[in-house]
Amino acid sequence: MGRSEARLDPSPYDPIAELYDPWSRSVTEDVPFYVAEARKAGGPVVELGVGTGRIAIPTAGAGVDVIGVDSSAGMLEVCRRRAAEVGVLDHLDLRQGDLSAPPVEERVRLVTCPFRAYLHLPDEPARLRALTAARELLVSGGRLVFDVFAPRRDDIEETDGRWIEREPEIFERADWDEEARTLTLSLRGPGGESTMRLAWLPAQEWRRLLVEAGFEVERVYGWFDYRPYRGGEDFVFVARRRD
Amino acid sequence: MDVYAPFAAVYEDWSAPMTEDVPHYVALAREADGPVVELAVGTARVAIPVSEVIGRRVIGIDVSPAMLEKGRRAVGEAGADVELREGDMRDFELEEPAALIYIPYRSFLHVPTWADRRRVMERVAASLRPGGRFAWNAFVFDHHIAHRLDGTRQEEPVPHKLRYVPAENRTDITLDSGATISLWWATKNEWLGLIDVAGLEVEALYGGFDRRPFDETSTEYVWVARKPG
Repeated sequence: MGRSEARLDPSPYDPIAELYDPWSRSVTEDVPFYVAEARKAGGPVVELGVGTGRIAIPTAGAGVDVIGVDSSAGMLEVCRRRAAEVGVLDHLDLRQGDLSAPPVEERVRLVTCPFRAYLHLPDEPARLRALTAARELLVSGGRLVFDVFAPRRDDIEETDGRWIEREPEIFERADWDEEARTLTLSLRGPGGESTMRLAWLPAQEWRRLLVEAGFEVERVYGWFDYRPYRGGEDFVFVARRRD
Repeated sequence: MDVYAPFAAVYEDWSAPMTEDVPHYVALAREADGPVVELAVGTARVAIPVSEVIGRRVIGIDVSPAMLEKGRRAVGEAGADVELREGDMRDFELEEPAALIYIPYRSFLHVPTWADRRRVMERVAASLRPGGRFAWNAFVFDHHIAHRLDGTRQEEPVPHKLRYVPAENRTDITLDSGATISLWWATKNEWLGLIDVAGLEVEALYGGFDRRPFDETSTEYVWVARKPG
C-alpha cells in the first residue's frame, strides 16, 4: 500500500506507539465483544483504526482473518511485532491508510471501528465521508460496528485540564471544550508524548449520520455486554448496510 | 437457609465490573440450535443479554430465592424472555434436552466437594442433547494472589474481606455484615477428570473471554465441553 503511505501525514500516534499498550492496558471489556462479532460474521473482517492490534490479534487468534487499517506506521509496526510473537501474523493484513479512505478493495461482511477511533473525525463532512467509505466496503446486508462516547458533565469537571496518572508513569490530560464538543487529549510517558484532538457527538447525531450514509441502525448498546443504550457515556452502534 | 441472600442485596454492585464474560456466553448461545440453560443464574446479569441477542428464551436456574427475586425484577424491567426456576445445579431436570448449558462467573465453585461437582457434571451430561455444549469459567488458583489478598479488606466493588484456606482449597468472601460465601477452587486435572467421568469431551480451553489459548500464564479457565454425538 505504498500509494497511500506516501501521502499520509505523520500520525499523532507515531510518537506514542510503544506507549500505547501500557497506556490502554486496562481496556479489555470490548475485546470479547468484537471477537464475537467477527466470529459471527466470518472473515475477512476490516478493522479501521487497528492500532497495535489489541482487538485484531485476539480476533485472528480466534481464526478470523483481519484486514487492519491504521494511519500510524508506528502503531502498525508494533502490531506486526506483537502478532508475530503470538503466531497470528499470517491472519493479519495490515495496511497504512486513512479511516475515511481505507485502502481496501475487498468486500466484507463486517467492518469495525473500535475504541472510539471515529472521534478522530473532526467534522460533519469528514464523518459522512468515513461512514460512506465504510459502507462501500460492505457486501449487501453487511454490518458496521463501532463504539464512541459522549462525556458526562461530571466526567468533564473531574478531569478537565489535569494531568492524571492513568498507569504507572503514564500521564494523560484532557482539555474539554463543551461548546465545540472537542477534546484535546495529551499523553506523556517514558519515551514518548503526543497530543490529539477528538470530537464527540451525542448518540442521536451518530444515528442520523448513519442513516444519511446509507445504513439502517439495528442496535445501539450502552456497553459491550449488550445492555441497551439508555443515555450513558458510551455507546456501541450496530448498523446494517441498506441497499 | 439462603446463604446467598445477603449477597443478593448487593449483587448488582458486586458484579458490575464483570462484563467481559457476556459476549463469550452470548456467542455460544448464538451457536446453539436448541434450548439454552444457565445454572446459578443469580440476578440474570448474563441471561438477559443472552436471551435478547439470540431472540429466544433462556431458562435460568438458581438455588437462592433472594437472587431469583432480584432476577425476576431485572428480567421484568428488561422485558427479557428469561424463565427463572428455583433449583439446585446438583439435581436439576429439564423437560427437553438442552443445546447449551453454561455457568458464568465462577459459580461452579460454589459447590464444595468433588462428588458435588461430579453430580453437576452428570446432571449436565444427562440434560444435553448429543453434540450439546457445557461452558463455564473458574479462576486458576495462584498462591501469589492468595498471599497478597489473604486476610485483607477490599473496598471494591462492595466492601468485603477475603480469606484463603489452602488446606480446604477454599476462599471465603465475607461482607461487613458477617455474611460469608465460599468458593472451592479446582485444578486443571480435576476439571479434566470431571469432564471425563461425566462422559463429556473437551472442545476448548481458553485462557480468557477473548478466547486466547490457555497457557502457563493463564489466570482463568474458560471451558467449553461437548456431549459426544
